[in-house]
Amino acid sequence: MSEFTVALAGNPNTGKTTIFNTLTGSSQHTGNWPGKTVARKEGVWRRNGDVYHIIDLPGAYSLSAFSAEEVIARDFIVENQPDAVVVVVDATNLERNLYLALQILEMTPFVVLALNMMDAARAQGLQIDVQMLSQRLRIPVIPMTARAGKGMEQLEAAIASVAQKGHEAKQRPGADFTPPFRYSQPIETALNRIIKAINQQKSLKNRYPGRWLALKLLQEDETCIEKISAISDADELLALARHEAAHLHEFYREDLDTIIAEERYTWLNRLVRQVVQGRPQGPTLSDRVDAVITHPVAGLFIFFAIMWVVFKLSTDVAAPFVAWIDTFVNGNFAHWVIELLALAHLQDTWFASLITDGILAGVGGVLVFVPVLMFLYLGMAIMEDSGYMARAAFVMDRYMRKLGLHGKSFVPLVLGFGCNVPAIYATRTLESPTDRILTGMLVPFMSCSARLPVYVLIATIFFPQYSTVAVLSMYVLGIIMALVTGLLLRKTIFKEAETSALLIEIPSYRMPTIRNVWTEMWQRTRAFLEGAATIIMGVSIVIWLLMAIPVSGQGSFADTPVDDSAFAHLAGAISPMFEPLGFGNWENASALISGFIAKEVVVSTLAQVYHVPQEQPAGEADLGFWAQGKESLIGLFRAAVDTLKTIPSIIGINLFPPEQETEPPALVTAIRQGFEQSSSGYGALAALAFMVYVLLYSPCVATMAAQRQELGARWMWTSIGIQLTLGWLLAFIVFQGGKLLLS
Amino acid sequence: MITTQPTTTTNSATRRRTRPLSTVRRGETVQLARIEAGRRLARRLAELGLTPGVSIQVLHVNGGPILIAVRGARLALGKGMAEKILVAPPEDGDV
Repeated sequence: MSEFTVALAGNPNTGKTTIFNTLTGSSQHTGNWPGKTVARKEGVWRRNGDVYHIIDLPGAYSLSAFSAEEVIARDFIVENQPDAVVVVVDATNLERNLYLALQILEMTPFVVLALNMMDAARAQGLQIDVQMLSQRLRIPVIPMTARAGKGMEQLEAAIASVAQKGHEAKQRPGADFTPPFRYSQPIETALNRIIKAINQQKSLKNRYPGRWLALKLLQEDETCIEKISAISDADELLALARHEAAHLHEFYREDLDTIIAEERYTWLNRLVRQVVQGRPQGPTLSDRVDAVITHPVAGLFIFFAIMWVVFKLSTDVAAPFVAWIDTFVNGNFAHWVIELLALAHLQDTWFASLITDGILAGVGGVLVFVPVLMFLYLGMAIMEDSGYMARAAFVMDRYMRKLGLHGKSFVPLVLGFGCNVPAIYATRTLESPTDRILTGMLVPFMSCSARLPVYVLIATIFFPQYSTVAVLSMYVLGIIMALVTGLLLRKTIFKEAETSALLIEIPSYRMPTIRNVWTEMWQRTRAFLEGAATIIMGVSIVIWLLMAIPVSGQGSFADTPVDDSAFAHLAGAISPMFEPLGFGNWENASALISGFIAKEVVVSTLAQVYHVPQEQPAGEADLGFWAQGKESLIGLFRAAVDTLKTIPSIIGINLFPPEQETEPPALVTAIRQGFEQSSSGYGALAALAFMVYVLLYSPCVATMAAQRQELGARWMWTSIGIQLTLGWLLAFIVFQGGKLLLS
Repeated sequence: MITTQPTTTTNSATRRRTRPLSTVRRGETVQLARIEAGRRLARRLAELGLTPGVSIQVLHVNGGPILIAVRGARLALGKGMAEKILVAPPEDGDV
């Protein structure tokens, strides 16, 4: 048994992921490349007792270190030296796709070319002379249609044989290889001089492919210069490279990078003309469809219609499953746990309380996001796999550009109205880190569905005549604050950052495959469970602890009224902060603290701290173990049926649930009195300020966890800081400004 | 922002009257003369196949950004980028 490392490289949208999924199946592992927010996918493929570690390199058009993706792909090939590199190319777009292959062939000769999408090429009337292509590139070329599984066996055999050769070659390092392509004479002469100088340095000679390194030095590649300066005495070598580059510049009178790219393309163009017969004439079907999809007016309508469907998927369609998970974890499952605890004679102890109120609540808080994310990723995967996402960016670019954002930024922002958590994860479709961070920081201003019940409660109590206007104005205020913050950030923190102008390839339309969509959904949801779960659980336990510790009164640990707990005292301690805003009492502060964890619990916390008895859902307590299990299964079935029922409603607008729950009158009176007292008579103003604060301050722990995972801890804290400051300021303006106007 | 010196290459397109790609109308085919952008962007565009002499067809125009066909691929370019790409009328026998 031997072990091999095989890297998969290719342009985006070439079917690289399909080949990766087919090879590695369920053995995949997703993580991030060290220090980067670029996903790293790895999997194991076994063949004849040998083990192949397959690394899916990020999709890239070239390897010139323009983006994080390109740097990662390039570094992996030259530093880790995989035994073989599989370059996946789109047979319908050979000239452009082979550019990457040509660059890789300058790094290693152990390459297999997967000539994918042969079905589409045939449908376009293209005939490709595979044998000639293989001879000219001096590597195995495997024609295939990965989506249909065609050509996989031949590809597997080719990988095995090339990896074996690559593995053997590692035993005798420094062996030279000849790439299939040569530049014009002056460049080759310069390269040879630099290669000679490299070979005189022992530390460099066997470490990097000589010809590749020489070319990079000639192009004055910064990352390469940095690297070799660190491992060798490079001054003389660099001076030589600079001298040669200056000489070449004088000769060509043009930028050397352009000359090099031009010579590669000229060679590829000739090659493709020899190898491919029957070039497609006129616009393709894709082009004709795009006449509508990318139309300035029709394209906008189509985009909004699709966004509406994705939004509905992650809200209404997911909602029955969310409800089912919620009742299952906090209902039946909690009962089973309590029964188990009772068997161990642990009921009514602090331990039982920790398990049920701390840990189970946390588990529920994590799991309710699973259906939301699954449906969101379903929509996103279909949009990306079909090729629509690139069009969406094209259509929205001119509008988002005015706000200093990228065309694709619109997608996460819209999703934010449903739930901020999936919206943060949706920023992954943005290539540039600046765009990703900026968009991820603006998402929390989109008023998510969990904030709605708070507005509805407060607005119906204080502005019964104008509750709809009051609620809608919160949404509008959120959008305005996002615009203002976005422009301010562009002018300050991101002043130096390059606006990444739109430059994307528009792939041909393709039917998404179930396998790819499913893998994508599952991988990303699992990444959430692995990444965010610990934070949400941790915070849930901390809150439980605060609630459990008695600070005053007669209660003991884990058995104390809320008023006497550390939580209430903490709320009391921070409530003076809210005094200038009109809602500075400990009750409101407690609701805001728990709202920091999740906006969903603001209303229930208000009910709890204003001492309004909550109704117990009937018919739960007395069921036996098995009956409960059965009940849960029926519940899951009902959730599925409810989901089916909501699908038609995707088309209709349904912002407010039809049956609005009427709040118990006791709560209404208590809240009204609380606000009147804390604002010394300006209850309505304080309530409005409270709504503004709820809109703007940090949405929930899960959003923070998502921000940490996607943007990094630094930006998460920056985002929290901005939200807390802005929320306070705006609520202050509303309350104090309102008071001035009224008096 | 403009770093390229007046070029005197053998490329014939540069000797003809040039205009920015952003002014080209939908359906027209033109030839790339030169790119007036910083080194990074110029190299990036060259690697995507936008090298001097290549023929470019403008497929769709959307207010700001444009969609072009180049070397068999479809590329979406922002307006600012299209302004930096100078093109000339096509010549026979080009790529």
